[in-house]
Amino acid sequence: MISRLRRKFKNNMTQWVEKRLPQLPSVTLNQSRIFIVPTRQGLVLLIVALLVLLLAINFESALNYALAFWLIAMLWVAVHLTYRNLSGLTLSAQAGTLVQAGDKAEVTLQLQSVRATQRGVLEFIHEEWGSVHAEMSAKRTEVVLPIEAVNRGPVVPPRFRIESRYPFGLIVAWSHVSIDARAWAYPAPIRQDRVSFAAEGDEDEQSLDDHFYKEGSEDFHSLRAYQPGDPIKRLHWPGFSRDQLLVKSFSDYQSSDEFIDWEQFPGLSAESRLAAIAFFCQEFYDRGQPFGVSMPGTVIEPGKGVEHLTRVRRLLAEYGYV
Amino acid sequence: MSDLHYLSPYKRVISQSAIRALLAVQLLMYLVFLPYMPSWFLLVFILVIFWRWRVLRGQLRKPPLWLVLPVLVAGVLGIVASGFNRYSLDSAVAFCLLGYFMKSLEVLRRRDGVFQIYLGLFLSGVYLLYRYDPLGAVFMVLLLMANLIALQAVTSELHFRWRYAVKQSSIMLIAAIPVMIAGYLFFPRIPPLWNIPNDERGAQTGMSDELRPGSVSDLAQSTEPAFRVQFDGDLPPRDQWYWRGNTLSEFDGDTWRARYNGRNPFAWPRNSQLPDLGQGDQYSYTVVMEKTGQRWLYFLDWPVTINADDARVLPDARASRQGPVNNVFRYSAVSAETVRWRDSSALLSNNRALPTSGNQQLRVWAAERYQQAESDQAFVADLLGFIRQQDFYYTLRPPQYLGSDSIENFWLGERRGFCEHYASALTFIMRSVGIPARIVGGYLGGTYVPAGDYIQVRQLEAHAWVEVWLEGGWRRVDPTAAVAPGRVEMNLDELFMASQPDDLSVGTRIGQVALINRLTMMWDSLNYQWQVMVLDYNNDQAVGWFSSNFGEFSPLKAVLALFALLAVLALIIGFALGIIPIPKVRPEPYRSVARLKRLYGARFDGETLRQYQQRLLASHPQHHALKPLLDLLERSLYDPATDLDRALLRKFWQDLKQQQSGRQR
Repeated sequence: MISRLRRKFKNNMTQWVEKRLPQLPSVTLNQSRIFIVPTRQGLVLLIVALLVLLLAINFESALNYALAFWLIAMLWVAVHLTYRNLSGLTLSAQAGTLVQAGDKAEVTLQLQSVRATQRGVLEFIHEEWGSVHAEMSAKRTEVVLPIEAVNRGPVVPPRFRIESRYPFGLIVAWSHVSIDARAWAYPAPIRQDRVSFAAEGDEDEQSLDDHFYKEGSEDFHSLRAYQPGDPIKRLHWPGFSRDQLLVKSFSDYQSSDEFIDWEQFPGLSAESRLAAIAFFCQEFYDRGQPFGVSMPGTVIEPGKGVEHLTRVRRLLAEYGYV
Repeated sequence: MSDLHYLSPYKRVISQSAIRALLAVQLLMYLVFLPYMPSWFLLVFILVIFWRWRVLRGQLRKPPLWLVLPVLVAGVLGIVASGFNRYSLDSAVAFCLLGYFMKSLEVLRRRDGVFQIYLGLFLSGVYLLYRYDPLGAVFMVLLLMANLIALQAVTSELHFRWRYAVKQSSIMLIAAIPVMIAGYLFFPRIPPLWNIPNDERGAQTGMSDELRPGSVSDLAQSTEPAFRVQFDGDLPPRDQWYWRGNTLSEFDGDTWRARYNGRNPFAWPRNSQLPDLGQGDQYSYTVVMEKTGQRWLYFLDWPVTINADDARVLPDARASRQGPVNNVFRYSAVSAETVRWRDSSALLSNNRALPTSGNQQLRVWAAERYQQAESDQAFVADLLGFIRQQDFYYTLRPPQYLGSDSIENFWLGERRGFCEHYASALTFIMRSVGIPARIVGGYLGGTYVPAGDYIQVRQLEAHAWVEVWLEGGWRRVDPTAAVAPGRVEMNLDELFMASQPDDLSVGTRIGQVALINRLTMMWDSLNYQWQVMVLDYNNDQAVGWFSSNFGEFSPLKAVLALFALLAVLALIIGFALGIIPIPKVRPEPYRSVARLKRLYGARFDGETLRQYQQRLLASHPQHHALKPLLDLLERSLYDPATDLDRALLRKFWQDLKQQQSGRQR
């Protein structure tokens, strides 16, 4: 009964917070967003002050009256000091990282304030990452929230609690912030059977244009200008006699299969296809082979290197969301 | 920085700087409490330093039980053995301090650190029970500041910065002062909630209700102030500055005791009455007494009336309070030069009693001497003459007179003594021949402090003299005046500096250097003001001020006033800390441009002032003043050589206002 009531209260509370503090790309903390109460430690200080007051009354000690009220007043001043730590603080989203689903993604938030106030240490609290601390004594700083990317797609930080107990831990000021920042997760690679177009279509129709060349050593392909470092064996000596420094360029043939196509994985769900594409991208990248990707609505021309891979991965991560 | 699990702040491990800060606070606490605790506390403190040093070196653990338990037991036994065996304030404080030091052995987490600091804050309050002079208040503020910095260190984990901590602690202390003062001024001074036995209030100081050889000369080594007196009107002559305290009338052969002491201050024979006012001058004055832990108050001869809480004048020319003087205590009184005494035989017979044995030779000597005297009065004069003629010597360091014949040994033997020896001998001789006599314990002399217009009386001025019943009244007889006539006119240290400086302590002698003497007088004057204005404050004045401004004082009004004060202060603090931004007044011409924006809407992106002007003129054709106004603004904005003609600007604005209102009509 009580637990049901408590659950209901908690649900209502969450709904109320959601309504009061909606998700925004940038949040400035002000009096309507900051909650503030004394901590347990602050309440104990109040008890200490009352004990000192008792000392003043029972021992008729004049200065202890002053000390007791000084302690009480300090608790009150601490409310202002702690409130100041959060007041006027602007949190805005920065670009998040791109990770494989199942890994830890990192969302970077920028903290800004108009004036360079010493705000002490701010704590960002959520079950997801425990507690992240950021000290803020200048106009801006950054905080990185590690979030586990469970699924492919955007990784949005949950509504977290930003909290300050500075400077003395007597008062805690906090706000619940839900910020529209996102990191991206590309699918974890899963091997799937990849149907080759070559098997389906007519082999004759497969023109040479569909081939593209991979630098190799099998067939002579063309002549090109000498560049330092080219092996001397490949110098084109007839050209050399005409005062042209040319090098013979050879190439290996490569099939058109390296265009990884959405349609090559028939009968699979979209997510599985994306996982398969991720798998083959990784494989081609590891082998150093160029590859292109063709997906509904987008085609990435073949290329290689880390940047290309990242481009493809981002496409995979954002598919269906952007 | 990230912890994978959220750890409650109270369970977090404190940093090295926090441990150092806590140690520094303990050192400070140790130093301020040094005079009030047994000296072997140093050992406990060294143990604490040693263990914390190990912790700082990386041995992050609590001391084992086999170490803590013996130290704790040894500490408790030590406190009991050091004489703090009764249940008293001193022993409570000693236990509290022992706990404070021992606690820090196991402080590794925030919760324990905070506990230690809170204990330190409470001990700062306890410290004020021992010291409440301005210097004590300064120490208290230092303790408070140190504890706040340590609190910051404990609650800041690895991010501790000295400058930040000092700054925040200072803001905290200073911003809290107004509320502190308001609380101090207006909080009602409630009587103690429960009765605290006198033993628990700390040691008694000053004159006691017992006089044994040596007790006054011990007291006369101290330059601590005893009380301060301010007269309404003229001061009495210097040789009349006899401040009487208790009267001592019971003698057991060794010690003189007050018959009506702390245990029964008001017990009195039923038929005895107060003396009537005689002729002669009257003095009215105010006394501010230091804490004595005793019940009687100090007076000039002879007390007539007293105006203080639960205090009254008693028939033996003494005034007593119901409770002991445990704080600075202020009272006003009137004394008369002469009073008419009522004969009270019960009272007088008490003042003739002597033990049956002891000092036999002196009794015989006195009887012979008394036979030769013509009257009681002549006998007194004869004895004083005897002191003058024989080789009596006035000294702070007399030989020890022990045993049942001690008075005889002094009077007929060594003849070296301090005021209590002379008073004791004279009283004994008087009583042995049947003349009522008693000893009065008090102070003689004092220093007039012109800066504060008061007389300061120190423990150094402690004195004992004799009162003899002659011709139906008590007469003061001071044998010291016979042996050292200068003493009546001079304070003890002045007298001895000239004749026998070796008798005085080094501190007293240094105090006689002119410059230091001036400084101590200034310091004393400050102390006096502090006692009158701060310590003896009760909230009558503040409540009176409140009712004269806001009508009758009531709790509701007090709470409302408190909230009003808090609101005003919150605004001030808010502005000072930058929580509430102060809107800036922008200079012309930017202010006018901003005003136009408010009136007519903002400019589009990339729209120049001229285009803006044309657009506004097109949409508001009646507002002719817009044209010259914007021309003027544009010129002033883009041509730095021209000064803005403010008169013209004002005129254009007026025109524009008229045109606007004209349109509305």
